Amino acid sequence: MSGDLVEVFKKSASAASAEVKESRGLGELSAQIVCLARDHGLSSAVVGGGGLIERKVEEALREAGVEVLPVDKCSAAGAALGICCYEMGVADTGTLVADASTYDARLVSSLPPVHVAILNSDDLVPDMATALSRMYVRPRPPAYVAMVTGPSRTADIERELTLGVHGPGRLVIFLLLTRDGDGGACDGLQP
Amino acid sequence: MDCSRDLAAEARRALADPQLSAALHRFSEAYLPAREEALAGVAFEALADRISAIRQHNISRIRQLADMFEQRARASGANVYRAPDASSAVEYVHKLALERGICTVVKSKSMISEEIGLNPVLARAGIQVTETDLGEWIIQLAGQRPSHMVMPAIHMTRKEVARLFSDHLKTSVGNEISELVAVARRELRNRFLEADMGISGANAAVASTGSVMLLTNEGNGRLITTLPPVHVVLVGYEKLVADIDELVPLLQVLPRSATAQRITSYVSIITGPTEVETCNGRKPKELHIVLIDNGRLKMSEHPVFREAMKCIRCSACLNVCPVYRLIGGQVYGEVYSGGIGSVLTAFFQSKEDGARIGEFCLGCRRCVQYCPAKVDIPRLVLALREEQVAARGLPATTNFILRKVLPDRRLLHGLLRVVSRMQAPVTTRRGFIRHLPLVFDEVSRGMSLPALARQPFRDRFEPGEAGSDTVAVFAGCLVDFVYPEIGEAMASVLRRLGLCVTFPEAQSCCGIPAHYLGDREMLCIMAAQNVRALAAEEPHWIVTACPTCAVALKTLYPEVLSLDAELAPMAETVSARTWDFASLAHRLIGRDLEPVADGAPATYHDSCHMKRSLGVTDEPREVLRALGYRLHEMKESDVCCGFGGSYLLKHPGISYRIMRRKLDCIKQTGAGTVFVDCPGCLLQIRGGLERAGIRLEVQHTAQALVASAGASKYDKDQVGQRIRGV
Repeated sequence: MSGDLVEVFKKSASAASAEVKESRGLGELSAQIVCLARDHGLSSAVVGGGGLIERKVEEALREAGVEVLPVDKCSAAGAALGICCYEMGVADTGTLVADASTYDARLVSSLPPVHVAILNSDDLVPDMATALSRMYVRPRPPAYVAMVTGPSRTADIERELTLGVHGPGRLVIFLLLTRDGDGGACDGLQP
Repeated sequence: MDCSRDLAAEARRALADPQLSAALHRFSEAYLPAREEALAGVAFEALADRISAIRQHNISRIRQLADMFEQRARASGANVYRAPDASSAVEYVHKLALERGICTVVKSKSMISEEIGLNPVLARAGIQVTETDLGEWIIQLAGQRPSHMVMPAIHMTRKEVARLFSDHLKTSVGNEISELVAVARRELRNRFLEADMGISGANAAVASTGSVMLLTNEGNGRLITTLPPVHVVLVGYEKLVADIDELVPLLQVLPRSATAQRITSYVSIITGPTEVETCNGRKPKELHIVLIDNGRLKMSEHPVFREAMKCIRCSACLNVCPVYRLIGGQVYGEVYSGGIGSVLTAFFQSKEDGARIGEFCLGCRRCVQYCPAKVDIPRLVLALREEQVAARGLPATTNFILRKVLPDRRLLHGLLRVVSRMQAPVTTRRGFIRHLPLVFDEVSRGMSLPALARQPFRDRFEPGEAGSDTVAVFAGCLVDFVYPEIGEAMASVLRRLGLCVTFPEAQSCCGIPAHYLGDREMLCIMAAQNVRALAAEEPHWIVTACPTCAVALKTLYPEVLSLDAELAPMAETVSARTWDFASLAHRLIGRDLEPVADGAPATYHDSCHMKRSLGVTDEPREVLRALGYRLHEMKESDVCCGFGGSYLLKHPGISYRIMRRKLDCIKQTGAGTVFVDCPGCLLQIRGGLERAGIRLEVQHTAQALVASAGASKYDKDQVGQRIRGV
């Protein structure tokens, strides 16, 4: 089931112009993100959340010489790369879902031109109905639920699809495959 | 709306703008296949039924939902203001802005902010308001009105946008779209970061949680709800849903219908204020939700117009409207366009303004087919027109024709016969009128109008032998006075099947022309007259070669006569026994035809009433194929030909352009004959071809059948059995 969802999610997210990569474990994930930064000359990053995964990624980026900035609106607006984890992925539409109630979570995912999204493959759900019902079972509804499908886009001039208007022009999703038990849980945005 | 606006003149200007209509046509052509793809795997009809049911239920408890929403939103820390009208909503935001010392505002696209006229008031107070949606920003810089609900700047080319940006930035900007988009990103970035207030609309407001949902693609919605310390949400009562579950079907249809996307890039669901960054560190932001009535509660309580409250503002109806794609949104009005715009404007602004916009509606019903909330827009436009006519009456000439001439069949027929004799000297050998004076002048420039028949069908009709299976012919005006040969073809085919064909003499106009002019009373009079005439002869079946008449007999008469104790049962009987000719022929002889056409290339045009009111599309095609025609489907075979009854007289320019496009689609098939089942479409298409000098046959299905009927071997007993089984 989980395998099917991975395939469906990859297909839908790619159709929405997101790039989807698979990572086997935290080590591979960090290395891949470092590679991405290097290959595209992304010299600065902002990282949202503060869980295990984010800390590992931050550490790897620093070691690779990428400047990891504190999260505020000025540095997020200036950073080349914004990174955060998502709580769920909707296979049917290729949508990332997060409780983005913290200010940081929204800054890192909306201001930099390249957004890296990390998602545990165990957190894939088949459809929007499942995602929303899980998101709203908590006693108090989250203040800001953010759903992201592909990069920012417009077709306002001559109907020509152009990526990256006010949000990121590039969305790279790293699916953390936990089959081999190496990855640990993605804590989402909860510190 | 400015009452001095001359909508007809504006429509003419829009028609003369090749760039606008080319852009809108390209979009409307790309839209349907893209929508289809986005809907792959989705049972659209079932989903639309569900949306319709949910919204209908919510409309009936709208005040309850509003109360619950207000209470829950307040509990989450939001401020909620319920604005009874546009000015109180504007005043609330204006006062808030002054109290908080707001200097700059960033907005994401919101129809309702345009409806209440917010921007000019804030601008007068010295507040800088920036529209951040790319299309809206372009329009704002250009000082124009949006030409499309979803793509406001669709009428502008990249060159024009580049020139606009160059002027605005006092520097040269290149023509590449990617460069123009980058300019917008760069220029607006600081506005987002420095703005004191963000203003957005909402696509839904959830009562059970007090949440608002926003759909955007560009990412501006996320920025304006995140960066400024104050966020104002403007939302109409129609956006209320009961709970989070109800967002699911909405998310399934809204992006698919609006932009043919499976989902938009961003969906944000906001419940109460979040944290924001200020120069004094982090603190909770201020969230203000303005729940706006401005005519919506009145609409939700209206027995007829409450249906428009189901609208989810996806603009699918505009994307498929043959008129909208010609003239664009700028002609209709300031905010809401098209047929639905006419109804919304009637309640949010004034009935008169709404009715004026409604005059552009062809009544082709294409919008109904694609509406994800199943709103019967043309019915509402007509109801609005009826209200206006009931209150103000019709123009004197129209009134005279409708009231005095139509019901008096002797007068109508007598007058038409006089015209028929008078026009003889101006009639061409091919049966068209050379030219027409006065109002008809503009009409006859685009198409050749047919001459009236020398002898109407009712005078040519000869009752045949009496028989057991009687079929009464309902002619309708066009078959009776212009194309009696269609009536004769129909009668001849039926007679050869061994049926006894009658023509109830007291029948007259079906009443739909009066109905479409908003004169419901006249429709009732004609309904009563025709129902009596048809029922008196007690035919087994009633057949008509005009789908519009068939709709009157089958659907409208039982509806308008339902309260008449004497006529209601008669109308039901008439309705049950009425057939459009193609369906009846298909039923009786569709499979027993002798092919006579020998693979001749032909094409079929779906009349609006035939397809969308009677639901008949396959039957005539099967009959034509059985006759040996090789059918080549034309592009958009079900798009209106532009006739629309009196529409041809009301908006000849628009009608002509729609017809020209139909002719192009016909020509592309390489067919030698166009078949239709509606004498109105036949008039329009034949007249257009004649005027354009294109030699192509236009025929009614009945005429195709009569040509082969002699060669076919019908088993009369079997036909009788089928008819009795009907």
